Amino acid sequence: MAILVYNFSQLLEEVAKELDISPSKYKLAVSRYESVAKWINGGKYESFDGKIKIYPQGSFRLGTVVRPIREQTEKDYDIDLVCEFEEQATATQAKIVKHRVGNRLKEHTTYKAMLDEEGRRCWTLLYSEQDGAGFHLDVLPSSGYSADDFYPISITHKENESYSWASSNPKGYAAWFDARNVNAYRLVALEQKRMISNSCSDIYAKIDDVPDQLIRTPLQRAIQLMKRHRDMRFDGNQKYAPISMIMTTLAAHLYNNETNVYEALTNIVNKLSAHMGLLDNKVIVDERLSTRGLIKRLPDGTWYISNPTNPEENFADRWHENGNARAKAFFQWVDWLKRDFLDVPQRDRDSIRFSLEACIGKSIVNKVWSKCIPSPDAQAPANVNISGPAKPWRVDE
Amino acid sequence: MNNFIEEQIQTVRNSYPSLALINSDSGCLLTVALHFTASVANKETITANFNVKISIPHSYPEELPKVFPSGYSLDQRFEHTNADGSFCLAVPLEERGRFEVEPSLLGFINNLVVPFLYGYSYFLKYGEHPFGEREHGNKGILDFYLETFASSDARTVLTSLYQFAIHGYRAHEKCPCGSGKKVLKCHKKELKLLLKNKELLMSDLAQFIPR
Repeated sequence: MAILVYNFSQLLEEVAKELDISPSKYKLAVSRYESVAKWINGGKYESFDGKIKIYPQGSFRLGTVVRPIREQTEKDYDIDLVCEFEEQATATQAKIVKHRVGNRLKEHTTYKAMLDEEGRRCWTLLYSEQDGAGFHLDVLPSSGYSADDFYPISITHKENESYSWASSNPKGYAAWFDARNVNAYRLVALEQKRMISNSCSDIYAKIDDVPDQLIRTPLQRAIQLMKRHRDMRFDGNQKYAPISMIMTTLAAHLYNNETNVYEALTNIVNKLSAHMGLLDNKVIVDERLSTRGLIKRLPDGTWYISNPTNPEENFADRWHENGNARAKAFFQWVDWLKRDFLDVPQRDRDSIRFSLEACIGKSIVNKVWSKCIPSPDAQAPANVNISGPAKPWRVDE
Repeated sequence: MNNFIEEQIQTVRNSYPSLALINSDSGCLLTVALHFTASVANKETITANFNVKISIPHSYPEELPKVFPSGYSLDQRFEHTNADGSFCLAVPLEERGRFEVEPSLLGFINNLVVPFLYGYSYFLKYGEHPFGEREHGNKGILDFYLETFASSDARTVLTSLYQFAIHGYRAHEKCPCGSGKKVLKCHKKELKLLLKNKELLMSDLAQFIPR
């Protein structure tokens, strides 16, 4: 028995909600990072007395956050916080900026206890250890100096024991993403704020109290599902797994303001799949897609996926390595997305459920399934005891 | 359609009430929702519901039915469908052996089709075959014979089986497994089962033994 597209889309929406950070946890996270920001802002820093801007970036900022899962265990949410010192990177050093933040955090007894080992780019505060908050905060020291609001900043990079600068543009990227998302956002914002305010009236008493950051369009939901699908399908084999930046960028490019998550996924995945021929150096049949050049194969066999806020940055700069391993993994993943999420009317109810359990997680699917999918005529199944089963085979063609 | 098949179909209906019947030139065609809860020792119990079409040839039960997915197709990662879209339940002799455990349509469904669909469901969940799988084509057939006699010596198993197929069962001949024992004291049961379906056996062996 088949499942209606409408019901399936509802199901995907509910699944994505389960993966998402809850409104109460969101509020907790915001108040925690505001305290951190206040603490960092209150510090006295040698040879710096300019402004410090502290703001979230990445999936927490974009509204595409999902609960990470590794080896079938749910992990804490990652929240990225940029800590931007207003000064020219050339006027200081990466090591100084990095330790400015690290040392300041260590001055606080609570933060000192929560601080993880120094990361390549950030300092991590492990909240879960402290109070069961279920997230950790990555604080990313950086330098930035420009009148323009959407400028690239310099972030620190530690390799072995030496520090260098790398360029990043989190605000510019977020602005680009918001622009791709804004029409859909306008359509759903009011309704969603009303629902959140109704179900979390203890946190957000009025509709206007609900922050914009909690609204999710079909684009954001689709990205959440794609990220979880990647985490599950590449679990234990992450080396070549597609990176979130690539899937977020391509999905945002391809999203066409579909009004439900199933249609959004169908459109995005089919268009990604249309690029598959590039693996064999074939042309993309769809001309409009081909002119957009979202994924490009260059004559020398290398790949190119542009950072929309910085065309010089190629997200696919390592795709040709090891016999195009990352490109192959990417298109393999697209193929799996197709089989796991699309063509619902042509598929059997149970096989939909089983493949969803495999690519999302059994407990989440069990939790939301009966809410969205009407049960087939209540008929007791036949009981079969299997003993000495045959092994499936196939005739050679 | 004869009474023999009609009775068997009625028995199926008691377990799977949604059964519908379409007569066709080449035999008869059933559509049925196989809604089952299947349990296996040491494995997860799975409840599932698959719509299938079962095509029963005129020559049934000499020839066994074919089973097709109805209104969907199996996930291509699960590679056990034939070119015509039907389920590849097992290599022919193994399929026949399983059928003869309970030689009726219901037996066919419960001993072959349901385990196959259980295996498929399990595969979708965990990415592996709960009962193992056979390689495609002749390799899979050979594997079945080797497994039957717990041997890895293909030459001995095949030539010995060929002799038995031509001359019939002879208790004092050496066992095909290569143990050196008389078959009477070795794989007697397994061998007799294979010889029951001599035609299938011969046609399998013809693939391997050059004339």
